[in-house]
Amino acid sequence: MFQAHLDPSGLTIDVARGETLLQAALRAGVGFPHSCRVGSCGTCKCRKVAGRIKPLTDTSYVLSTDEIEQGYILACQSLVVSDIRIIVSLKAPALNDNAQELASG
Amino acid sequence: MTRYPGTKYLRYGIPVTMQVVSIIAFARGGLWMWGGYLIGLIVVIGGDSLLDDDLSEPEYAHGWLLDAALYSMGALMLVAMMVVAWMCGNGGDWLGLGAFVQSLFGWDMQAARAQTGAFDLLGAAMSIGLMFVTGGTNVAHELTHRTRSKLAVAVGRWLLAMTCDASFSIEHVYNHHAKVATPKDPATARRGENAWAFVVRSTVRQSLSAWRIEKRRLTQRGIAVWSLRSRMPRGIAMSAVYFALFYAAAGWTGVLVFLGAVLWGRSLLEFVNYIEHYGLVRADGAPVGPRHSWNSNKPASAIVLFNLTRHSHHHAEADLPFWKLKPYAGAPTLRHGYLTSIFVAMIPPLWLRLMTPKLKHWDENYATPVEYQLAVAANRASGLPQLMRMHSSPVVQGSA
Repeated sequence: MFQAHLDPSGLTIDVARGETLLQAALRAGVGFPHSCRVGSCGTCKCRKVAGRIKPLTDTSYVLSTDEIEQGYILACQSLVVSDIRIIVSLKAPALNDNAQELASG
Repeated sequence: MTRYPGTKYLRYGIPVTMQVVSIIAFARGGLWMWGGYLIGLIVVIGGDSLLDDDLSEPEYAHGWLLDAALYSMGALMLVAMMVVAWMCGNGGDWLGLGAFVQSLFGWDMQAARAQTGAFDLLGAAMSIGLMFVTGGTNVAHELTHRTRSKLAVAVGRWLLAMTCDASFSIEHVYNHHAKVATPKDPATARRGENAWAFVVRSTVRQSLSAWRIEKRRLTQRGIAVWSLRSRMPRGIAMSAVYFALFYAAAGWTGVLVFLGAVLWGRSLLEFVNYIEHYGLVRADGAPVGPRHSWNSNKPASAIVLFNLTRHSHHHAEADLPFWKLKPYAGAPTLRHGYLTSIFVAMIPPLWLRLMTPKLKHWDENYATPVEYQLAVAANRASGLPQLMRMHSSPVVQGSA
């Protein structure tokens, strides 16, 4: 279990082994911006200022070389492999949780 | 399917068994060459018509068993192609396959081939074309989503190359999922769009889009577009291998049968795209939700296509493996299973009669206020009187 610190909100969330940053944030009910969840839209783009992640896709499909050098990552494609610190503008949470909205029919 | 406890793993043995039965049929030659096509029609259309919707949500402790079924589908696809290529031949024993089968099973493939004529080879192309969807592209779709695994992506791309579509692995993941239900997605059909026209438009535009995406990535990394590190020329080369395989086994007859299967299989794939998102709209950049796909819980389609039919959940959480997808009974739903829907879509007037009321219902019950405005514009552009009339009188705006 690792910890991810989200600035500027100051929130800290737990990230389980094998979990992406986005999965952990959504599980914790944090309004982390996201859309496609497969590393193509760039909505969950955020900046890593400390710690290590393992990317699950070739992020150069979405991020520019400059962005990658500056530490930008895609939360949906980032396995967290140490405690990390991230800069991200959060949104109001959970409007997008369609699963619960539709599961019962 | 909840009525059949204990089948949660075994059910995925059904498509694997269908592949094996199809291969045996190919080796028998003659009219049996139609076997792969007919078994698909009978099992999927029959099963969807006769059985209840599958709303089960089984938990799986051994995902690797399901992956084994998935990868088997791909391996059997290659075997099926090789048997068909052999049967297209005009004498000889390519790769010693005939002798191998005779020694193992006592079956005389040479005699079977002697009874196989042009009509039978048409059946082989139709069969392989359909199997390209179930055992080829569908399996590849699941695998190429797993961008974390080099093996999964490589196997997936080799399966896609069977329909000259390796670039699907780029376009689908890096464009379709981001842009679905917007005009920027080539694989989302517009309201009123003819399915046959869509097949052509989607094929061409997806291919161009893949080139554009790959070129952007390569440019960033300082790699030439025409290089071995570029996935586009590599994909073309992979398909060329299959053509060479058919040529080696059976000369131009083999190439012709394979080409027929490619065109048929690729068309079927585009029909799948057509029915999955027909007429749905979304504001570019808004989160992708279950309402942006047409879902289906018909059981035979679900099993044979490894839950691709649970499409609403797939798009909403595209990072999940197929066995974790949920039925989402409340999502917009196709009336029929996938294969039946495809055949309906092939007859545009029937498709419109089926789907126009469904689009109206979508606008009034699923669309957010922003999407409602997009839907109004789409209805006006559709050329369909029933949809255009919706907005000539005051209407009550639906809410999400």
